Amino acid sequence: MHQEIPDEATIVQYLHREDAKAKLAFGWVIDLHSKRLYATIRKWTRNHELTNDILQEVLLKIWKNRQQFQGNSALFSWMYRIAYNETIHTLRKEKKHMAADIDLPIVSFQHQSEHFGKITPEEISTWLMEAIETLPEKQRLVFEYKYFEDMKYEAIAQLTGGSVGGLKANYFHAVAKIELFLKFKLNH
Amino acid sequence: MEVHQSNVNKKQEHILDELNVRQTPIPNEDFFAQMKSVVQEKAFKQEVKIVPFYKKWHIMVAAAASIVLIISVALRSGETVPIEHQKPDFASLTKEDVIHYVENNLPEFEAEQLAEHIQNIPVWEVQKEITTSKDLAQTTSKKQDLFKQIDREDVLDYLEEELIDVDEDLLLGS
Repeated sequence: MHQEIPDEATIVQYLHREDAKAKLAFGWVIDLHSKRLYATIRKWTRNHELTNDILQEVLLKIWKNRQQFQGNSALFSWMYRIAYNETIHTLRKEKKHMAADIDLPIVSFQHQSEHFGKITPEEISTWLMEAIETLPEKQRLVFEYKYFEDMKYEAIAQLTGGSVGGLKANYFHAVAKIELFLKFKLNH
Repeated sequence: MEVHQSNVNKKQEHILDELNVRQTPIPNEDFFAQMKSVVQEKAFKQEVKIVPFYKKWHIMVAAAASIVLIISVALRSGETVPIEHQKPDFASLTKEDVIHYVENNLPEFEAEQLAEHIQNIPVWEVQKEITTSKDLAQTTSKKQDLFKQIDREDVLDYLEEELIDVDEDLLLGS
């Protein structure tokens, strides 16, 4: 019988236990967030096998460190942070820059434009990920889910626990910084 | 030219609007179901707490006790009792004690030593200043005739009986 997934507060409460309810809560966490985490990691790695390895490692770390989560932020924000740090660490360890050796560029040009010179989709994708890497965590998270996933601000607010207004501000700041970064890259 | 440059700059200012986002490939449900099983198995298997050997309390106690024991043994073995603490208490010895000892242990004395000093075997008095056996041998303290009751002839007879071969020159005191 499929048990309905409770709210985040209950999930966190269960996770802090040391019995079967903690394991049950961990299963809920995987059901709720593994796809989103996969997509996030995959954007950085551009590789399924590597993404699978990192995702498993991330989930194991979430389980091992669940007692350390004190509820100061939303559960997903904490998980996103673990995923990002683990991905960066893995890519650097394997001496792969984010979005290098891509098999599928994450972005492409809407139409061929002379204004961007001879920049290829692979190059612009690489620069875009480099630009995202420079963002503070909250701006990075909002930008990723708004720009790449086209999620509504309300949905992102449920994930991160922030206000819609705050998220909008974060997003616009992120966009400004990224475009400044890309412009610099295009002209140098 | 300036208009063109301005248009270029404007385009570049909104680069993100000029880009198409490609959907990130996501595996099917089977992949996530299998991945969930694998992760749960790994996570819950690691729940069996393995206490490292060195963290077990009785190991720590035994190690601490061993260290204390080793240190105490090392300190003891390194102790050297000064010679002055090992000095025999010659001050408490009487002349009779010395004579009695010499008589009982006469065979331990070398014949040459006895022969050499047969003429001048001193009877010396143990003084309180004597602190080591070496000092005892070399003392120049007041001497008395230890063997005044023993004749020279008695000594020679003894040596002959014991078949102790002694250099005649020594006997003659040359």
